[in-house]
Amino acid sequence: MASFAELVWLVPVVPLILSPFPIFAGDKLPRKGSFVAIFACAVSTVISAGALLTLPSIPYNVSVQWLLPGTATSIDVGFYLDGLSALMITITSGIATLILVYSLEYMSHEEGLPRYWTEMMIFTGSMLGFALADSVILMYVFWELIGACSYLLIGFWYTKPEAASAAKKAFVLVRVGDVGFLIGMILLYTNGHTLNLPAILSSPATLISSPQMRTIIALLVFAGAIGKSAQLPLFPWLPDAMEGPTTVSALIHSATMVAAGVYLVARLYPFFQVAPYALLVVGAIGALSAFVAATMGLVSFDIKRVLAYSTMSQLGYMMVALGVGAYGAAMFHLMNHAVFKAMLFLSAGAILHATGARDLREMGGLLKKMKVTGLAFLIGGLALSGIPPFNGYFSKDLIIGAAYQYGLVTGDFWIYLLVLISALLTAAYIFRAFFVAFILPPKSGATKEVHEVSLTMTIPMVILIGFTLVTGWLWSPLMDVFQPFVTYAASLGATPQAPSYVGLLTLAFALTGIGLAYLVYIRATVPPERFSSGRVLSKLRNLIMRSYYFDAAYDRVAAGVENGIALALDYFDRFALDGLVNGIGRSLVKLGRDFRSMETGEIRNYVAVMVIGAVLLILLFEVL
Amino acid sequence: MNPYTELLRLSPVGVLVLAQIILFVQDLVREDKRLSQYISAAALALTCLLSVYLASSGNTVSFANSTFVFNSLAYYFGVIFSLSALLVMLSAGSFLGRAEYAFEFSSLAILGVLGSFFVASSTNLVALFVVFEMATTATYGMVAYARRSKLSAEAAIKYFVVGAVSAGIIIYGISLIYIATGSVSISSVFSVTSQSSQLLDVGVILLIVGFGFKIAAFPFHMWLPDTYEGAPYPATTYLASVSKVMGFAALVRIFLVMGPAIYALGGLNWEVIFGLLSILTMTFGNLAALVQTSMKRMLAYSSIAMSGYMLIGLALGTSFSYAVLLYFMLTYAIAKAGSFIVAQFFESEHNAKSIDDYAWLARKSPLSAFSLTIMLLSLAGIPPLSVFVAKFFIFYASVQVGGYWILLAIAGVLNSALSLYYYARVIKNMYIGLAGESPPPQGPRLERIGYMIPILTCLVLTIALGLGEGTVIAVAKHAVTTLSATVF
Repeated sequence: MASFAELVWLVPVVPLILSPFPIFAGDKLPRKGSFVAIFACAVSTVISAGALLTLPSIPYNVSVQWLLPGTATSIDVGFYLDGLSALMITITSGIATLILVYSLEYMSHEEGLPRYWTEMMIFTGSMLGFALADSVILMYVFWELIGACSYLLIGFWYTKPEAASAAKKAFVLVRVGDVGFLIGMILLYTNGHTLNLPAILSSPATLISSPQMRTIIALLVFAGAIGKSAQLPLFPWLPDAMEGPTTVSALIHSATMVAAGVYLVARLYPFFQVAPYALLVVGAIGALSAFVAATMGLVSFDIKRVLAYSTMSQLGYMMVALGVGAYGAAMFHLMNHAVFKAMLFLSAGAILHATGARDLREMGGLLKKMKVTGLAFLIGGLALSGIPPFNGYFSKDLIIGAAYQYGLVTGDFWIYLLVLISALLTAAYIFRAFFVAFILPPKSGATKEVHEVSLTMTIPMVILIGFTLVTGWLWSPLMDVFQPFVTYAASLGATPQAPSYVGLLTLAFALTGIGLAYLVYIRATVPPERFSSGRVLSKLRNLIMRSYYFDAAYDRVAAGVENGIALALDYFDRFALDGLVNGIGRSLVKLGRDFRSMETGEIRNYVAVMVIGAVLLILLFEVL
Repeated sequence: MNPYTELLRLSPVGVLVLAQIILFVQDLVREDKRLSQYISAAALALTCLLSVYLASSGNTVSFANSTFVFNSLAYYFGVIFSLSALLVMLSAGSFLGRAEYAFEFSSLAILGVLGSFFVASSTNLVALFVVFEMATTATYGMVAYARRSKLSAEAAIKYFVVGAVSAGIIIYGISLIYIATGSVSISSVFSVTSQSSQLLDVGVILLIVGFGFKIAAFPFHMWLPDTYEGAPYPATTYLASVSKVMGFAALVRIFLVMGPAIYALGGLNWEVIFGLLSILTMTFGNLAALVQTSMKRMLAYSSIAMSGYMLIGLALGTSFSYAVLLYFMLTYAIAKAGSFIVAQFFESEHNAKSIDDYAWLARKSPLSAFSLTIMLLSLAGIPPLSVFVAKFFIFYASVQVGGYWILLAIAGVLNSALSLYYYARVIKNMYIGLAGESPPPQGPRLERIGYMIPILTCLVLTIALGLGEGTVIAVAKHAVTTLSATVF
């Protein structure tokens, strides 16, 4: 019996190899080929979990050579299994499997299901390949595949103009970051002469001796992470991506696309550590994104958009953790966030499925009618706010504590302050959504009869509730099995621990946030309209509602570039291309003869151009 | 040499000659359209397999008083010629079924491969010219094959007139070289009197121009779009694969052997000429392809652009760049032939001519649409497909040479990025239709077995050659070193 480590190459390969089945044979398979997709992801989950539990003590690397084996130009392509990648593939494949099971019911009435299954399989397979890749170039290949699949999935309802434009936006904005990643990778290769991951991680400082060059490369790679993880300033695609099916949002926001950005930094963390200022930038962008996203979450009325902003905000937390040297906490939060965010999205999907509403103002009193969905949303909200004993509490506490310690060491407390205030805002916006959707009575008369969704959809939610209660304890006062597990290099260091009063303060802030939401929405001591009245407040609200004008700015830029290219092409088509051919033809006409018909004239031109070309070459190379 | 070994080493051409005779006899006796097609396909397949074996085992045999020397390089080209012609014959079934005279097409296809095979093996400029014209003449016939179609006749006339002029230019070039050196053999050692070194240079430039017609280098490309568009699809596929590679075979044959001496004796910087033509050709081809609305015309311009990338291999003139060029031609011929065959299938089944007609075809013929997608992505240079690997290496080769030659790599990368636009448009139309148009109802799925065999062959080879590029390039390297090391 081969060990799980030896089978690990199957993890990305199985979903990718089986992916053509639904789209080509889906109509003949039962349920449009859904079982192929679920089977593939389940196989990946089993192997990943097996590899995670029986992880060999030294990293397992299997690779083949591609592009001229045995020469200087050969590129190794293979998979690298260590604690970090084993954890990532287990999270990704496990959550993908649950989401696919959930989609069985959720997507059952849609057109084009075979396409959906195939794209989900490629999407998941690419993420698994990205996590396991043993060289930066292979990571980049899968990175691009993830981007392409997200484009297809966000635009799943391509006939809807909003969905099509959201998909385009996601593709373009993420690509802006990708260009940075690509240039960073090229610089890494030209300066360090290797793209092999173990080689880069073992001695990043000696690989590239110039610290400035290391910083440049690290920041360019981080630009890729900014795009994928929807951090400032490349975030506007994330809320728009809510136009895709909710299951796609759940997958994108928990374990695949946005996690890829954080994972990229975590994977290359030893390199970032030896790049001066790089981690400071990571932390700063993370803290700002966490705060900005939390404010936007407060004013959004679309339940899916609230969740989208919360993803951006939580990813900001992970970036902060990476920036302040709490590498373990970042991965811990990645795992916990994947669990509870998937659950929140599945819950939102259930609401959408049952009521057809995405706008919070059209919901109300749902807890009584949808018990499991409501419970899932409540527990997800508590975990997101950082309330014990749910998993979000443990990781968030570690990150904010580490940010505090970072402030003590460097004297920069603003990162700590930003994440602390964001913790309050987070609790406030998620409970605002919870209270309005589930507790308050519906505003308009609920004409539609609402029932709890079927078992196919509730079971994945229940499983995720179980995980939300469990995973946090893996790194808690009781035990710490998580941190040693993901620490793959000695340089990574332990997460700095803050004194316990910092944790209590964090908890107080989170509870205050929930309390505020309670006061405003349930007790109605302060009506919500008060927050948007008055000149300053209404201006502020307007600013936040418009995503700090990032959208408008990007639209301007895009329109400018598009018009420019169109004009240039039009000019080329009309003048350069037609002009060249016709111009030569016309000048020959002037030489004496007129065309008798287009056909003969053209051949004459062709031959003439040919002869002129020959004469020019001879003149150029012999006479001059 | 053992006569049996000699026979074996001549067998690729022997099989073709034999097939030609059988075809004539068959036509006299039975006049079976299908049978002609099968005979020629079988002969081409056999030639292809024999050539693969002979190319990889490094055999040499000379023929007709050493006028033709079949070595690894010739066999390597033989593989490309016979494989592409095989794809043409496999996909020509429905076209020949409708044609009045079916058998001549098979015969011409084999004649073209035979001529091309000899081009790749000739050691004498005059002999090379004769077999080159033999192959070209066969393609004139193929282009004019749908003789009742006005378009086909017009395409053939254009092709013929330009071809005739370039034949004149070639023969003029050869005669100038003869005057300058007193020899017409393709040899790495020749002498030139100091007064006539310029004659040699002009002769060489004229050769480049003449063969530039065949490979459609800018500005000698102008016949190509009209001819490709007007010719019946099998003839277009043949022109884009067999015929174009033959032009490169002639140039490789001449410049690989004579190149260094031309520079040393005549002082002609022919590498710069190829570099210049390369940048002009790829840029023009891509820009023109960008604005096309007809699929066939778009593929025609894209094939001009591909010539530009391949010219980099000649411009660099290192043995590595020649080896990459050989690999490039194989991958190009397969991807291009495959694209034309899918286009032919779509035109005959769905009446799809313009790129807009390709809307939603992935729903009607998913497997063909998928194959076309892969082949277009390969041509655009998306890893890990085979044309990407070829482009990667050819750009890598130019970076390796360094200096101003890096400009070729930069131009190539920019052009590849540009080309993705027009390839992606086709893929987009096939899968998500035109903007603002709703998808058609789910009709019956349509794939024809006669088309699927060549299409799937191209698909598999496009992927497999990209992943297993090591062996092919090793064979190509071997072929290049044996030729450049041998003095004829």
